Amino acid sequence: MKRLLIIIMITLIGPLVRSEYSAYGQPYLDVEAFGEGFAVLEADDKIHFYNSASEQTSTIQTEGVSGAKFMCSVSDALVIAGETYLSCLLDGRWLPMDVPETSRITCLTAFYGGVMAATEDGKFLFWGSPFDKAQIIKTEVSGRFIDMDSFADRCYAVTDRSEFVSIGLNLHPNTFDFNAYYSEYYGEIDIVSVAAGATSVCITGNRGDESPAAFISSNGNVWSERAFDYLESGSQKYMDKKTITAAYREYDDCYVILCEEGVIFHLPACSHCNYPIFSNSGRLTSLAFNGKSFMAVGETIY
Amino acid sequence: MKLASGGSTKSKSNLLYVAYFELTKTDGTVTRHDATKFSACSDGITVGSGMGTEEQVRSIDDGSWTAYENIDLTNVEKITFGVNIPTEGGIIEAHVDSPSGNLISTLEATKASGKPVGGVYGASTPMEEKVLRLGVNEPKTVYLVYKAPADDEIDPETLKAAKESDVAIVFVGTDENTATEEADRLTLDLPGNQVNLIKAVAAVNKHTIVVMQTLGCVEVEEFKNLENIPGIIWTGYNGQAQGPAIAKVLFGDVTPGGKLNATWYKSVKDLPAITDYTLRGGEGKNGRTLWYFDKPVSYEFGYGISYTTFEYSNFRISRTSITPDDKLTISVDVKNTGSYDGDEVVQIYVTTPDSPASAQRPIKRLKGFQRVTIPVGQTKTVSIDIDCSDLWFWDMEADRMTYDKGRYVFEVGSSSKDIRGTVTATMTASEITPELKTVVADCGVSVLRAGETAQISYTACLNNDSFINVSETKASYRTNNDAVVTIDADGKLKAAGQGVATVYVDVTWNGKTVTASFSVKVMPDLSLATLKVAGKSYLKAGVNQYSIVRKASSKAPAVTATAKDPSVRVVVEQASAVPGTAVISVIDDVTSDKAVYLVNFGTKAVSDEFKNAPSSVWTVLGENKDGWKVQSGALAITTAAGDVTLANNNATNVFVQSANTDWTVDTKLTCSETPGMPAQNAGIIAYQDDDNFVKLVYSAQMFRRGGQGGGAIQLSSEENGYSKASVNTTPEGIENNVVWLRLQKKGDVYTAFYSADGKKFVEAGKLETGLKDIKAGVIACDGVMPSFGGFRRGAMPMADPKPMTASFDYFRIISK
Repeated sequence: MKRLLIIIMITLIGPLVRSEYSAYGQPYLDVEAFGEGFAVLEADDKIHFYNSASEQTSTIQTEGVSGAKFMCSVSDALVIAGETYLSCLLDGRWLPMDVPETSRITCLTAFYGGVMAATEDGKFLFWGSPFDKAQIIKTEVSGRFIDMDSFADRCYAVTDRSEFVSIGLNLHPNTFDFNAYYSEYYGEIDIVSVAAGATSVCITGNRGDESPAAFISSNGNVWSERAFDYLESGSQKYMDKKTITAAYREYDDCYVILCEEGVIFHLPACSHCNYPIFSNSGRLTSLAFNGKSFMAVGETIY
Repeated sequence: MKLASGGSTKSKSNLLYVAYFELTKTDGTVTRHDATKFSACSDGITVGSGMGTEEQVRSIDDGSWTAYENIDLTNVEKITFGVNIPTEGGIIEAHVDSPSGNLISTLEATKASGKPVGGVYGASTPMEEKVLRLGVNEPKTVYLVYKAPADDEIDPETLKAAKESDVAIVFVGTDENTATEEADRLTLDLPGNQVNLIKAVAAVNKHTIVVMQTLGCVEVEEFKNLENIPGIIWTGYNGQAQGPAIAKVLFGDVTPGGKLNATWYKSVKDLPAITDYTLRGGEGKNGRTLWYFDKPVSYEFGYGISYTTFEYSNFRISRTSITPDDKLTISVDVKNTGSYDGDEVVQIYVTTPDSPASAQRPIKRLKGFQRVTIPVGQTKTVSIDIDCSDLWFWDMEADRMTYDKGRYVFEVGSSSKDIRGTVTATMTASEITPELKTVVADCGVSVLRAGETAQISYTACLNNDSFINVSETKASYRTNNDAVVTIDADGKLKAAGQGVATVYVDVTWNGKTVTASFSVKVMPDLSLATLKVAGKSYLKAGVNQYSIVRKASSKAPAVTATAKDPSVRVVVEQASAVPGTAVISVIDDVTSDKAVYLVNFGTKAVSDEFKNAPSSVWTVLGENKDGWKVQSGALAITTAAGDVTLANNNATNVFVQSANTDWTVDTKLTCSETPGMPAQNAGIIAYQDDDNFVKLVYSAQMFRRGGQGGGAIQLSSEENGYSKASVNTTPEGIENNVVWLRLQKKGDVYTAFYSADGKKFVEAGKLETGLKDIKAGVIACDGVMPSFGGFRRGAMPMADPKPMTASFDYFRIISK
């Protein structure tokens, strides 16, 4: 009986103790381009602002809510989200946003001047302004949304069952089951991230043998694989670290993928021109670009 | 046999890309300088961004430099360079006043020192170094001098092995460190320490053979004449069997017979700058190539010796007077005078000594060659045909080929310099007899539908490469498949039936005919040949949607249909009742192309003047009884949140009745106020379901900034939930929010009209969409339009629109 009690206490302690760290166990949760620099969301609800020279200029605390997990930058606003709330920092004030009661938010992105979130039960929520009621958009996914991104008038999301969803300004989603179509060709892929580009979209994931995988498509129906090979001193090498997240760098049309052990792998438009950067900055789980500058965060800020 | 290493291919060119340098003072202030904005530089430096967008100093060679004037070095303690390293990297020295002036900083930007390599299209990597403070307090000119890393030392074990061997074979060459995509080499040096290796080995072994595999000419003067190097073998980048091939040559199983296909210059300094692309020399600079380079070389174009020797004799030419229309043959006897069977490549070069000097013709041009295998002691006659039309020069003014009259001296030899004999012919004409040579034709499209037409056009040029006016030609047209396309005498092409056809255009000029061809694909004809309803034909050309008025029935008349094209498949989904819709699909299984035809069976719709309770024919979708009433001879609907647009299928109090035919609907709408932002609207709806409909409404003005404007007339449709079409019109003359609306359905075409007075109607738009089981009615709602861009500075919450009352005086429908 005593042994049992101890076990229970340990089980309870977990969720009651606010961890300073994210689900990844890292202090820095998210980074977004903001103004001419960046905003970094830290696990204890702090937001640090950086200028274009990557110098920290200020730090603020979120107001009225705690447990922020995601952040997106849209027009002049910064929107942070916990699992059940959204709050918008605009004109120096925090504006709570409408979130339907039963929704648990799993990811967030700016979309065409508005904000799109995905929920655990396979819906999208859209706000055109911080004052709007959330528009609820049902999808046909069976999995849980784990990442989303947008570029111009297209928004994309992926689930933990490797489903890919695209949605346009008409807010009508299209679902594509990647493994259903491609498992016999590419093998089963555990998709972890999506990045929206100017004329294409990229999904990254990992194979059963823990090798990385990345695919690019124009519209989300036909996918071509991109290899993680690169040249070093004339020798062909292969990056074998699992992928974590991907982002798009518009100025040179390049997808940049954060991988395990701090590897930042670049997939430019030219497939001969892949290259890695070994950041030696620990595990990085989020990155953002602002023009030619970029910042990645996770265990540290890079 | 011993194997030893010792060489490296580290490049001394294209060392670095440098974007900027920053100077940090002791007080922490940082000044950034754009490295591409230099005031002077050494020869060959370029600026570019390659496939990235960051401008960088490029083409940096060992010894290159860039200079920057007026640099404040007062109290500077650190310099940071923005650098990309393509391969091995290099050393950046910062000097003051000249490239050899006081050295204030040295950065080793090399792979060997652990700096990151690669990613030349990405942002530069900052690399910092301390600065030696000179105590200067005035602006200075800073020179960045770039150097290659020191060569690797030759391994003493390698030299020991070479010394102890009977023969030393030194393999050297170039690889992707020398040049690769986006990175040309900037020197002709053998990269790395390879020249030193060759010389070091030759110094200790009298029988040193050099085997070079390079991407092209390299400088060989430092070792080619060394006494201890009796032979050099060169090869380009070969395939997977190159190892055994080179071994066969080295061990004498095969006698090499290849010839160089380029001039090997003694030094890159003999050539103009890398950025100078001119071929001809002059004004103090040398020309390029066999054609225009007249200085001594290491190896001339066509050079290549053998394990045997060849003797040339008995030079003949088949004719001594030529015109550009002629062909001639040059013959020579070649004897293998050596000790081994071997191949010789007999080469023919032509010079034109009578060409005017002003024309700056080439020194000589290669116009024929032939490789021949000749056993020891044997003689073979080698005959090479020359087409005199190939002896052309280009006339830039006349834009065509031309020929210099006078002597054409044909030099026959073993290389461009080793000429064994000559023969001469005299060109007596300056122009070739013009003859039609090339025709290119197309019709502007490659895919058509049956019945479509296209016009064929073509261009034609002569054998002197000039274009001719097509009006001077005659053309006839044909096809290999007139079941697919037919062509009339004027080249008008008509798509006849599904398939692919090749079209031929025979063009004749001056008695000669040349044929051009192109392909055309005709997509299937998906039109109907017959359409019958209960045995009676209803087919009309160009109609996709039919309307038939019948009495309500639980059974609809049978529809049958056949397609014009027998290769396509027709599927008829019968209507289940009247009202109801039969769907005819015409499908081409080859192309997956599909056409859909609808036959709508409908009953006569019922007009309603709304004098009393609404007619029993109405169905109220999403009814909220508190939200509508009939009053003062009108159906009054109070708007509420919701709409049928996009993902918002939640409109209330939508009045609809069966109207599955062609019809015209009229109503007079009076709104209690101007429809409010963002999307209040009221009007007529043609409704299949929430995701398939056509709406003609008086609505809030879309996307106006702030304040209330007048209403808009909007005609819109959705198909399977997607917004298919939308027309917005700002109406004129509307007063007090009273507007007459008319929506006309004919087949799948919906035409909208509005009027400000009930008399004069203005067309407001037209769209096409196919709806089934159609109902017609009225709708009034607050609307839910996705608004974007509300996260801007100064954004304020938009007030919910005040509910509006939309009163419909009547709903008049005439079914057709």
